[in-house]
Amino acid sequence: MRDGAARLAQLLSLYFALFHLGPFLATQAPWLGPIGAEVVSVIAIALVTELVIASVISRPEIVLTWQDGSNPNALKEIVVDSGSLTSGRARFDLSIEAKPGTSLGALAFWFARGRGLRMRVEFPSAPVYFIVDFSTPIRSVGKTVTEVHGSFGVDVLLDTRPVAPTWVWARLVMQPVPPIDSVTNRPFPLRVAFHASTAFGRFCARVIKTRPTARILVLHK
Amino acid sequence: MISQLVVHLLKEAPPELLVVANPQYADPISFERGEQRRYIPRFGTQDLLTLAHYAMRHGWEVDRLEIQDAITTHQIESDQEDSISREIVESLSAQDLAETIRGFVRNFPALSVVGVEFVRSEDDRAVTVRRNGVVDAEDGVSALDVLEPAWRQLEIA
Repeated sequence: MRDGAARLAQLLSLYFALFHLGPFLATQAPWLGPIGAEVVSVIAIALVTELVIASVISRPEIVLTWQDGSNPNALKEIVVDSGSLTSGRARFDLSIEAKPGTSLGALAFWFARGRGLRMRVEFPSAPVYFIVDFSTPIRSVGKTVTEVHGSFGVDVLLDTRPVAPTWVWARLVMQPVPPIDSVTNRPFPLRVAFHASTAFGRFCARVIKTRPTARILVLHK
Repeated sequence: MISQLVVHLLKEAPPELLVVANPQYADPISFERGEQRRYIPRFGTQDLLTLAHYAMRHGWEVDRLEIQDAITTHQIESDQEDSISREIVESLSAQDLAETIRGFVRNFPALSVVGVEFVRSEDDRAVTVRRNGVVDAEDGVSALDVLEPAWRQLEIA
């Protein structure tokens, strides 16, 4: 659907560039010549179209896929019982995939990651915290995914080239912050937020949207 | 003696690592004091293997890894735990750390390392460091002896 809309927008803009803007430009700037006017108008319209597609129709996105060890399918919600929590067996895999969508989307990723792009994934106010059992890409110093002190989440450092299909992978162990009985059966929404070390990085990150497969955490007794 | 590691985040200096006695076996998270910027370290399998790899090259031996089945509730037989522990320690000794970590994920997808027993080469004193910064140390040795140098260089937890 989105791809279809993007292609339609590209075709319409090409038509507009070739049959309307090109001839108009040739009359306004005769020194360009008819071919030069067509080339300039096609390049200008292609850039504008790409910008519109990247910011409206096909925004670059990051897909966060949650899985547990026993099921290869993506989880639609994260359900944990208190027994698993207390025994250290509430373990989940988080895979992060980059989908630039357009070449401008790829540029947004490139500029943002060059400016210390971090993504915080957390369940605010949930009585749990995470231990990162593993995370990739493996670094010689530090980890790609780190626990956040004083927050119920993790920070994902997105400073490497976004390879497909999995850019970053982490195995997270959920641990309880007692007492948890009073909050069982209550859903805790997932929050994903970007941080970058420069204003330009933050601007690029604002263009990128996120799509988690699971958006809530539910704790059971 | 059981004690608890606490990380004290300082405003204008590197984090300070503290060992606090825990004779009552209190839950590690109860040692956190957010308002004082004191947190417990969260050692995952990768962190513990990283510490083990570093320690083995800086005057320590790794006697044993504590391993947990992180999916099913059954306990791993101690023979099996010993055998896997030996295999991983040999890999840490002979191989690149990243290769050992990749091998662990590939070969033991259901398992997690939840503790490492370090033995100081010069006097054979042992200290065990576990997942949430729980420490079990013999007299005359501190977890800081093994962790502090590694902490500065490896930026873990």
